[in-house]
Amino acid sequence: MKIYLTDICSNICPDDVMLEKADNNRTARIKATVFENIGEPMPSTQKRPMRIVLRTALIAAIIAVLLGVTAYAVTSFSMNRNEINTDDGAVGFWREVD
Amino acid sequence: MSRENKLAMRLKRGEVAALSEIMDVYTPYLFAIVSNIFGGVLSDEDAEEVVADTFTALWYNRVNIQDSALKPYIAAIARNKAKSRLRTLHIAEPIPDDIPIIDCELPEEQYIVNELCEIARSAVAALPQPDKEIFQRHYFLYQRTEEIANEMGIKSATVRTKLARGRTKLKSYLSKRGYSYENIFD
Repeated sequence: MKIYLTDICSNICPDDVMLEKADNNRTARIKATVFENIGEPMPSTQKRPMRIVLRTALIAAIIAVLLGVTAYAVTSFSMNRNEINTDDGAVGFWREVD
Repeated sequence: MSRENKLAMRLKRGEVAALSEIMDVYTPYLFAIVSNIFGGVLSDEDAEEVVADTFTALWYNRVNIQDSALKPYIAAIARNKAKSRLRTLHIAEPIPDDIPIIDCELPEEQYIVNELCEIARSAVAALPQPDKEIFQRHYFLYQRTEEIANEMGIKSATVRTKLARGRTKLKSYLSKRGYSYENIFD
């Protein structure tokens, strides 16, 4: 068997060269064949992004609630509650002292 | 961690969604390589079949993937499958300067091929740019000299000169390791 120059060049894949001849229909046909070959259902392309959106929204909601509770607690703790009970009818006056 | 590494790790864990994403990213690349190898002799449908076989093989051999080498791994599978298809049909290699290096019927043939591959990898790694990229495009991606010239914005004659320089470098590396093919490379 003859070994050619291209046979011994199987380890020289260029890192940063990407040949682009994108064709979505071709990719879809190849995907269908591959998933049929491996006996797996084709994953939905919408499934993963939707899951990510829901997860992000849930995390954002939890963070917002935690921040709100923290802010309320800090405000309540540092507030000086000197409430005057007006029902006692307290009266007073100023007297100047030397 | 790069996207390629993450995809490789997910594929190794058996995530079908990762295989789907890999096909989205690499189908155009592999189809281009296989089409280049077929050189118009076989149809686009044949090329699609080879690309599908490549991804199927990738799925069944996913445990062997190195995280950082997904692209060269699948490119090598696609090349081998396309070249096998041509040889099965007794169709000659499409690149005119694809020179026979050795004619061997020995039991240790695969060992020799592996050694020659390693020598070629070292020789190409030692080439300066853009010679290195030109050599990789021609002998790995099977791009024709005119195509390389167009994509890199240089003259076809320059591409041919640099390819010849690369072959000379490879020849010297092979000679140092005891493989001498004076007539073949000249």
